[in-house]
Amino acid sequence: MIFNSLSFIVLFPCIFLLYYAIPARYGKGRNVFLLLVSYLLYMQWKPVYALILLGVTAVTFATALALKKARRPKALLTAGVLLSLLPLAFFKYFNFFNDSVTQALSTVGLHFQLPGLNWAIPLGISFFTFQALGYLWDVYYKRQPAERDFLTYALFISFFPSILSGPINKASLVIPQLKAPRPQYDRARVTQGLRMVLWGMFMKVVVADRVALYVDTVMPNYMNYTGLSCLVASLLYTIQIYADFGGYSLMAIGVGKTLGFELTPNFNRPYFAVSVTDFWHRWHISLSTWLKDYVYIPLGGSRCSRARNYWNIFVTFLVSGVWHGANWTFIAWGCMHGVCQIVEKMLGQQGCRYRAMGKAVKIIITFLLVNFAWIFFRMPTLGDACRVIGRIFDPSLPLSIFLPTSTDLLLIVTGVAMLLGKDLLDEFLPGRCRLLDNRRVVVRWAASVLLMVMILMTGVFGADQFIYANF
Amino acid sequence: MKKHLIKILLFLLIIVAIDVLTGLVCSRLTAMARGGDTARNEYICNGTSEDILVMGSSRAIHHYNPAVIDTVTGMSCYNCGQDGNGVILNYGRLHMILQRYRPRVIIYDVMPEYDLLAGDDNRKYLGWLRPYYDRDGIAAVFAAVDPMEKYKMVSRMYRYNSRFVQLLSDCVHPMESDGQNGFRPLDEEMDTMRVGEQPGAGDAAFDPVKLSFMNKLLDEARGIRVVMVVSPCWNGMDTTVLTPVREMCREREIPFLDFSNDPKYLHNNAYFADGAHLNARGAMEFSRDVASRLKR
Repeated sequence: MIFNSLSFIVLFPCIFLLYYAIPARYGKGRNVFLLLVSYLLYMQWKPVYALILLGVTAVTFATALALKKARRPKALLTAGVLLSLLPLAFFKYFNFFNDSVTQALSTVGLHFQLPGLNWAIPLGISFFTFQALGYLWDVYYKRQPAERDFLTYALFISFFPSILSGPINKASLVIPQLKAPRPQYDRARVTQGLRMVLWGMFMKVVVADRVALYVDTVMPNYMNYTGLSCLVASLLYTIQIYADFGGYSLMAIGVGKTLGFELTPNFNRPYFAVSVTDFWHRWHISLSTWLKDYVYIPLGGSRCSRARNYWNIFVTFLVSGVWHGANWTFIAWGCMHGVCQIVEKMLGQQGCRYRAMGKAVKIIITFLLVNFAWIFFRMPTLGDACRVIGRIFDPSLPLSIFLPTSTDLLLIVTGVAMLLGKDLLDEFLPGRCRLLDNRRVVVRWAASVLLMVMILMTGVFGADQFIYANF
Repeated sequence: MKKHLIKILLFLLIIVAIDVLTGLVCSRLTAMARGGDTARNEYICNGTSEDILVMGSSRAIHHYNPAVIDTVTGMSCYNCGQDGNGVILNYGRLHMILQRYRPRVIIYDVMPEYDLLAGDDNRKYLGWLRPYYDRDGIAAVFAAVDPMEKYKMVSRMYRYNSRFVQLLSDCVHPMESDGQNGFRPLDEEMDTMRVGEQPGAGDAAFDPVKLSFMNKLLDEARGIRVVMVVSPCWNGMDTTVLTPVREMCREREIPFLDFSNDPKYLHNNAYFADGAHLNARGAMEFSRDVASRLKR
């Protein structure tokens, strides 16, 4: 369920009240209710795809249980992983693989093609598959005991706040919470959760979707716009994707909190990173943690030769690119991030030992590098991405810039300034200027009311979609 | 828990109170607007009394000069075109206009993207109709586009969503004039860089919602002389996408004037501001052409 949709606004209060209407002593009853709600919400879109969710859940649950007694646990693990990956590979990568092979064969004169798939990809498949695989590996490496209660495990995989776009939670974080006795009602946590939902909604509908109006005008028709307009659109896309995904994650974590659960934090002001390595400690934290734990470290991590370590970094980010989508643009994006981190490691520039000015320069350089890579992420083909970059650096093009309507311009500037201002304060003056959780009730209430009014008055409510819901 | 839920409820009540108050203020501001799009929209819905009304998208607003049409035909004219909009908005506006009076002629400028083809989220065409949601027949337009809209329209603030700044500015110091009888000429020179590729008709899919509104518009305008026009494009147009509207016109014996590939305008830089829009000179010439055909 998309959090900025009307159905969520109507359904969530009902889910919230019904959940707390079940007495806390019936923890299992609450879990059954949440599982039911999670599956029903998932089935809103295409009911039959719930079978895939159930299948991945069942396979990983059974494999994890069987691992303890298995004579050849590695073989069993491999079988379980491959079986769980099958739907993901089929739905997400079949067409890409088919097209790539066909193209490769046609270059040597062989013309052969399998019919392509015209099916929609099950929502959140990359997220719940990776969450389930993470659990399986944790059980294999004995970091996590195999869960014996299918209901608890099924809820861990399908928990509705995080199933569509993460965060990708670790079993060690969520399963104990599902099993532990829950307090009747944690007022402070619910309030905190609601504030997160409010700010996340602001990021999504006021900032991301407003900025998208400019980006979606220029980027698909880049040939009709100047290099300067393309540059502004790429900078705005950098803001858009953060406000979109960061806002969604915040709402997911906030919804989890209102129901009494702590989910993995996913963002930590990523555009204040001092290096690309630092960026990945702040951006999509749950995915980068997953990649570190299940790809980078099993490959040898940094406890190996330098060359091998660089290779491990590169492979990890190649996997990250492939995870994001079946397109060469995502692979190029992943490789760019990998290469940047290798270069940073070679130069010893992963952190920042400089004073304010040096740090500011590093933040700007990192931002520009990340922004450059986002162009590949946004454009449909490698050729388009290269042509956009070509236009940005083409000195023969006029220096004019496409401006949106004055209202849109004002709303873009206001929204981005508010987001940037909050992140700046949180980053450099933490706890000094709090509005939503100010000590004074009047300030807290005024800030919340103002934010809500801004959402209703200036939010874009036409776009009921999140960028990362496509992955 | 009870105490906390009461607090949450209180918060929501404050929002509802602000919502109602904002709705009242915005509706008053709309009526008071001195210029800009707010005053123009208000005039189209509540004030027009001209003989000829021009409807359509940005290609209508920038292409039809009412002064020229007035001179040639001897009938008063107002340009109701609206940037980035098509038949959904125009049907709603016409529905409101017909509750007041019946114009003698309606010139409808067809833009396939906004009037016929699928691709966009149709909710974006409802923006200028939101303040008039309570008017007779307008709720049905919203319901046809998205049945969920009626729930959103409960919020008065949502009706003026994204328009508050413009509303204030149009009351205090309008940034844009409401045009020369609605017409907004483009004074720019031709910018060939802004010419998009001619869209191929082969992969064009028609939008049943837009087509149904086009049918409804033509049905409601029965008894009024309607002229459907496709105005010139710098690069021409693949006119196969116009087939449904041609068919509708044929059934109702409505004249259909297609200037999209007229050699007088095709690739003529002197008449265009960009690939899709005529400049002031082009608009003058084109308005004269349409008016003289209208006179015949």
